[in-house]
Amino acid sequence: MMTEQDPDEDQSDLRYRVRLLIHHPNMDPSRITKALGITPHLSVMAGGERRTRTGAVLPGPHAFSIWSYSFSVEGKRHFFSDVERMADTLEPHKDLLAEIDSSGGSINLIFDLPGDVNLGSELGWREMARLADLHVVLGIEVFPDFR
Amino acid sequence: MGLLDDFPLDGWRGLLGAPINRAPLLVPLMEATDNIGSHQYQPTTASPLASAVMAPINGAGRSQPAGTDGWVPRQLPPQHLTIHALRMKGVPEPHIAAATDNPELMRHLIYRNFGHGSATTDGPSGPTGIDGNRCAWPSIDPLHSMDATGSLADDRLAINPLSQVRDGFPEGQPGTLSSTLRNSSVRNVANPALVQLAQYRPARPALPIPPLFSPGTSENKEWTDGFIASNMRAGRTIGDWLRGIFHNDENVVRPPPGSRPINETPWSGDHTEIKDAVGTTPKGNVKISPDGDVWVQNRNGSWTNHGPAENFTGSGKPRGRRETDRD
Repeated sequence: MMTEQDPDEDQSDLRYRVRLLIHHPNMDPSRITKALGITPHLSVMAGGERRTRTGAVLPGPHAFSIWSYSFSVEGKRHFFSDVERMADTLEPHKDLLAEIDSSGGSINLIFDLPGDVNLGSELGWREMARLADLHVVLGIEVFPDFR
Repeated sequence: MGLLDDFPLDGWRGLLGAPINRAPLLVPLMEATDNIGSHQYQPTTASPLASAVMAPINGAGRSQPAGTDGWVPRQLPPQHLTIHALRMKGVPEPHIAAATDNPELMRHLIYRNFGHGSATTDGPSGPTGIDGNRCAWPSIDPLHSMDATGSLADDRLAINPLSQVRDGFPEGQPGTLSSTLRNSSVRNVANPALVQLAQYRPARPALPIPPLFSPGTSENKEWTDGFIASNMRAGRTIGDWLRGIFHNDENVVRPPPGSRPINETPWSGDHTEIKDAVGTTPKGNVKISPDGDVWVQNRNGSWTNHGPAENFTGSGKPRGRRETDRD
């Protein structure tokens, strides 16, 4: 997780979070980690033991593999600007993403937005085309009590 | 063991094969029952059925168990009222004596003295039992023949209460009839309700099933349609029950009752942390159960319990909700 500051914005209440979330029925998440060169904050294997953050075992195995990486951004209004950045990171691994998608998995680029502040952004067609070419699903979610 | 255990098998066969004579009584029952106890009744135009109605009430008839035990074909006691009625008709004693052991002759005597239909509805030959024995009293249904009096009513109800209902009560009568029967202090006094029952009986269908059941015929169309409809309803009920077992949403794991959306709980400030920690998409709904567990909806609609919400925060306590105009 990382926090970024936009020097052009002085509004400290502007904030959001970007998540790259990959689900797959049975892919080993370590393969994704190795391919992307990014250390995820969440990596679980399908069928593996479920545990809470404190280590307590939960009933039942993981139904699918999860790989997730996220970072927070503060003081920045144009949140879609991070799409271009993520696309730059993922495009070299286009084949892996295509394999994930074709084998039942999904690649989600998610923007978690606060519900107590006004944010606005635009996603140009070129960025949309790049995401489509990478089989990436774009998601947006608003949290009333975003911290 | 039962009250009818001593009844001869041949008698049963004869009764089973015999049609029920539903000819209306020719004697006013009120008058008839008034005279039964004193043996003063002298039938004039009455059929033997009227005599049979009264037979069990007197003498030996009262001493026997109610029901069919008192009706033994081919062994009529000499004091039987039918014989008494024949005597009153002036039938010579030798004829009566001969007829006592000859059901066919008895039938002819009755027919000759009381008219057509008084002995049987099947004509001169009469019904024949399974083993070929003639039934002396095929027209007499002992259970129903006593409907016209209050005598032995309680016993009959105890033996075969359905027989009373089967032939149909006058509307609104069953309750009053039952109480009337049980409260009758003078059993040999005719009861108007019972007289009414006897008068209603021939007009009512004996059974809900058509006499000649042939599914698909126009006569039985209504009954057949009803039968089919009821079975279809029963089939649907069973089908719904089975579907409920195998495809019931109740069998799907869901957040327990009382669970609330996370943004309505003190854990709303930890919503993003929780979603990030469990790795769910924006479409995944998150709820907090009454016992504090985090329930997350998966992409396929199913739900997963991710354990206590306190495990998702460093402090183990919720961050709470912001003070907004919503509150």
